[in-house]
Amino acid sequence: MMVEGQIAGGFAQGLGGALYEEFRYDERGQPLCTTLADYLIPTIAEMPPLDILVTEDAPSPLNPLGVKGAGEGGTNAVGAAIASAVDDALGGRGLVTRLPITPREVLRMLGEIEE
Amino acid sequence: MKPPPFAYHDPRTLDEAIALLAGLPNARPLAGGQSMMPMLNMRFAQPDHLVDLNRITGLETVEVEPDGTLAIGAMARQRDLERHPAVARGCPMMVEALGQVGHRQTRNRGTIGGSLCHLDPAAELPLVAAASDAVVVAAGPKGRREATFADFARGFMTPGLDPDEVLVAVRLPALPAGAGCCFLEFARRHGDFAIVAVAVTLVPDAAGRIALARIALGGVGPVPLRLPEAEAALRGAAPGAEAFGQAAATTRHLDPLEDALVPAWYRRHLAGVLLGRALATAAGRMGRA
Repeated sequence: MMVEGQIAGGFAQGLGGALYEEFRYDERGQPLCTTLADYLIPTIAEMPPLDILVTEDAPSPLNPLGVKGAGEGGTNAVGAAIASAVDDALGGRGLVTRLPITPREVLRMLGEIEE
Repeated sequence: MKPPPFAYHDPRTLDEAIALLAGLPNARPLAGGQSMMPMLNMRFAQPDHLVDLNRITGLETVEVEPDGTLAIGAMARQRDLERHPAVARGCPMMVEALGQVGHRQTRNRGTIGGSLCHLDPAAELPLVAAASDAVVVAAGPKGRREATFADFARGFMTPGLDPDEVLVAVRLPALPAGAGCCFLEFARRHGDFAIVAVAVTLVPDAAGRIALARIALGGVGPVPLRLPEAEAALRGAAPGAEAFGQAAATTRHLDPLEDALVPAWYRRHLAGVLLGRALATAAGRMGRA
């Protein structure tokens, strides 16, 4: 259960990095996201239902307790998976080159707006 | 953070509250505290006295008057209004909007009067009031007075109240027969203030055309903005993509708020998209005149 919890939490962190969390600065280098009202962290309302599949249950032979690290296990893949999904939805043209992907960015990629 | 020091007063009657507000220097009323307390903690607000309205009874009532006017006490909790059958009948748009006001926990405490007086440019309830031709009732040392919401919403987070006045009720005129309403907003996360929100009421005539449209936008101007040009474009029109497209196109002339994180063009874009969607939904909800 602890491993599954770490994966769920890691997924949330990855989701934040993929779609919400961004430190932004103005042209003079002043930080614009100095509170949690401006630096968006996903909440339970943003979390989709998760299915967690733990396929390995093999204790480590390298230490007396047999333990392995499992912290934040889900994080890294989330950004890549969401970026690939958005890119696929936009025709697979390799338009997604940075995270987070914001609604405004998607509009720009769709060519619907000129800034 | 912690708030700066202030004296706390908890009067039991409205007259006591008004007397405290009139007599004490730099005093502010406290309703549900869902905006005021964060404002204090962030030290955006620094009152010397807080006059708590929560122990005054009779300010949380919801009544339907004989002419169908929905009269809501200023201290009615947002969550109670969300579940109130009279609100569902008399102002379904408000129920739709309330689902997007903060979170259920904050709505249990937050009041309609507090939200109207805080008057955040992107808040849902002021937008509903603007789109519903609401009338606010204020009480002060000289008695009660009424004002249209358009007059009440004086400017950016500036309600038209004297320092010794308390908002006591908001009155929403009865919806005409067959009216279809829609409230839509776009925010990055659930419960955040909207980047843009739109509130629409369409009233049909006997032939099923649009007799009257009321359209308001939030998040675009310093106060909720009515769109008279779009309302005029819809009067007498047959509901449908052509008329809605023309009405939505009037948002191209808007000059929205801009801040460090959201540019004006993005709000303008959202206004047009949301208005088009809200008009189509409201039309689908119209009944017979």
